[in-house]
Amino acid sequence: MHIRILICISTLLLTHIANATQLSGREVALKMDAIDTSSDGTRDATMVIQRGNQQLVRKLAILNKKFGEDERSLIRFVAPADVRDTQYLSWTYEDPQQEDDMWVFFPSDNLVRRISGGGKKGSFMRSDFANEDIENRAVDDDVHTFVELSKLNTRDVYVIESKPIAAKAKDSNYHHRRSWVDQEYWIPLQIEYYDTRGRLIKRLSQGDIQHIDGIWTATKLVMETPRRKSKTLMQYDNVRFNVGHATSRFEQSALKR
Amino acid sequence: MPYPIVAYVLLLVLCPTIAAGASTDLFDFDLNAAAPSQVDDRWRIAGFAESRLQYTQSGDWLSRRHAGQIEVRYQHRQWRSFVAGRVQYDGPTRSYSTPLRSELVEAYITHAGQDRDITLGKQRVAWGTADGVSTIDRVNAIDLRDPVGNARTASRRPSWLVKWRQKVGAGDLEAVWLPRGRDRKLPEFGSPWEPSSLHTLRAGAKSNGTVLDIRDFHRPEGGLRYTVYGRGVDWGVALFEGYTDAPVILAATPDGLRLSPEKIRTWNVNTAFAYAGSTFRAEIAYTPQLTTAGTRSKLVQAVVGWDRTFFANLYINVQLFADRFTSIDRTDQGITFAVTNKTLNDSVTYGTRGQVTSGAQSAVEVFADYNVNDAWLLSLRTLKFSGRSGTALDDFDNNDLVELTARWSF
Repeated sequence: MHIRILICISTLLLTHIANATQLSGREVALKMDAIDTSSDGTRDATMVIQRGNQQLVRKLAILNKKFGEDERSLIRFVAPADVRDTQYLSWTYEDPQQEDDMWVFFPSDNLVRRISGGGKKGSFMRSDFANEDIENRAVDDDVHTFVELSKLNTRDVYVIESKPIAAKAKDSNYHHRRSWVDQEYWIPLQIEYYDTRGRLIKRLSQGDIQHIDGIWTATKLVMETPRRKSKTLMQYDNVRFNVGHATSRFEQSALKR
Repeated sequence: MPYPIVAYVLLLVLCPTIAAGASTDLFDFDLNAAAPSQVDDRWRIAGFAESRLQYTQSGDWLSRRHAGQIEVRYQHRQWRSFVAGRVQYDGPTRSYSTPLRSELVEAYITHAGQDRDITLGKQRVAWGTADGVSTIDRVNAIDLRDPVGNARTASRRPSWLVKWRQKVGAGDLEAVWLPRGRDRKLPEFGSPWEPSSLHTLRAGAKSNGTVLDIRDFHRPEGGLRYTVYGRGVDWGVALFEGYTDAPVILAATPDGLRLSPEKIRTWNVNTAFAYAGSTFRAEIAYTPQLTTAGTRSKLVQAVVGWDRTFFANLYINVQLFADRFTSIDRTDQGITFAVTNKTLNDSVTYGTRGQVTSGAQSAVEVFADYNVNDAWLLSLRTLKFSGRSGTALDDFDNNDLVELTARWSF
């Protein structure tokens, strides 16, 4: 009898503790957003797109720097040859009402040109990633809902659902995303992307998580589009944080061959 | 221990291992093996080989150009140098030109600092915010020998220059000086791209035995611009002082006739800004003196443009422009446009581009570019010109063409 009472009390106590530590969807999103404590960073990215018998290879150099809550990033294409040295400079703002600023540099014309963010739904360099998948996304660009505590490949995870706010929904391919967020690293180990009919569009898996300059970083990504039987592998190398980029590297005058 | 309990314990022990194994397998790749080249090579050699076939409506080959281009870049600390050279052979041009040509496309060295850059050499430089037709993109001359970039833009020739950029306040001040002027090239006598007025003059001179002196001054040209790229909006002011691309001033000399470019000075204000997912662009320019239809006039130009990407890849670009010659009370106006989309996993880009201007002039292109893989590109396009008799685009009426291009990049 005493044992049964003890089990009941223990169960109630554990449930209470679990409830007390359970975070809301937005709190999980904030934790994810806070994991990168760096002021700036640099990394090289290699993408291999596998589609049927075809294999396409892309290489990029990526730089970013934070300006308070806002962020500036510079992407330079290194391969393939026909887009080599094309560069994208973007200034993204935490305020969801503020439209991001973007410029593209075309090396053949030696031209810096302002572009709009209307192409966010498009594919990023013909990969399974859309442009919106690789951009810096502010926490309040989405409404985040807690779904459940779960396990993914032995890891304890929060499962949350993120739905774009009205102002952002028109620029998104997705009705919502479901993320499996590691409770230790606060990195989504898996993200599923759904359309308005609730059908799965794509699945992103992140792994090879490394502790680099004090920051947990997923260095290998796999984005799969089951309906197209297509898969993109992405690998980050030479990842460094707090390298001290000059502000001028994120200005238009830096866009040159 | 009973069998079910043994199985259960084994399952408990193995499950995490299996799961971890599955997880590890997903990321068991090294993409550097697939793409071993370094991102930050100090030396880099690139280029392409290309065959471009142009067949006209009248059943002639306009061009069968086979070209190879090599580009070498060297970068060390703040120094960058770039050299691009090209060799091409174009058989059908034999009747009016040299079919085999080699050319230094660009060759320059830049010292790039945080607040200032200096560049010496031959370089492509694009000014202005407008697409299609720009009022201040004057640093490089239009290549009048092969003028069609696409149906709404002209192809240009890089210039020998000294370029200085200096950060001033919130923007960049850029000065260019072209000690030998722009690299003008006139269409050869008998070329399909030769304007009829020029052809008549040349033919007349040949038949009469008179001297037609077509001058390419190689006199210095230069310009200055100040551009601010900011949160939500870019704006700039610019001034360019130089000469027209084509020789437009005809004068009698003791020996015959002399045809020379005209000196012009153009002031420009430009802006580009993003709003509600669209980009808006505008330019206004003022040229105090320009000869048109044999009369000197002031010229005021305005360009207003809008472009936006809808859905994933549907891109629309529309631009209205007007040229007002105040002294002769004439206004030319027109529109340039581009509508493009992508299909087949974005491997094919297709669409239409063109311009429609006063005098019922139009140039319209329908095209499809197919990225076969990372190295090969196949392009197919049709290009049609039309215009009232005596207009510039009417001169190209016989150049309506179908073009097939295969390019291999490395």
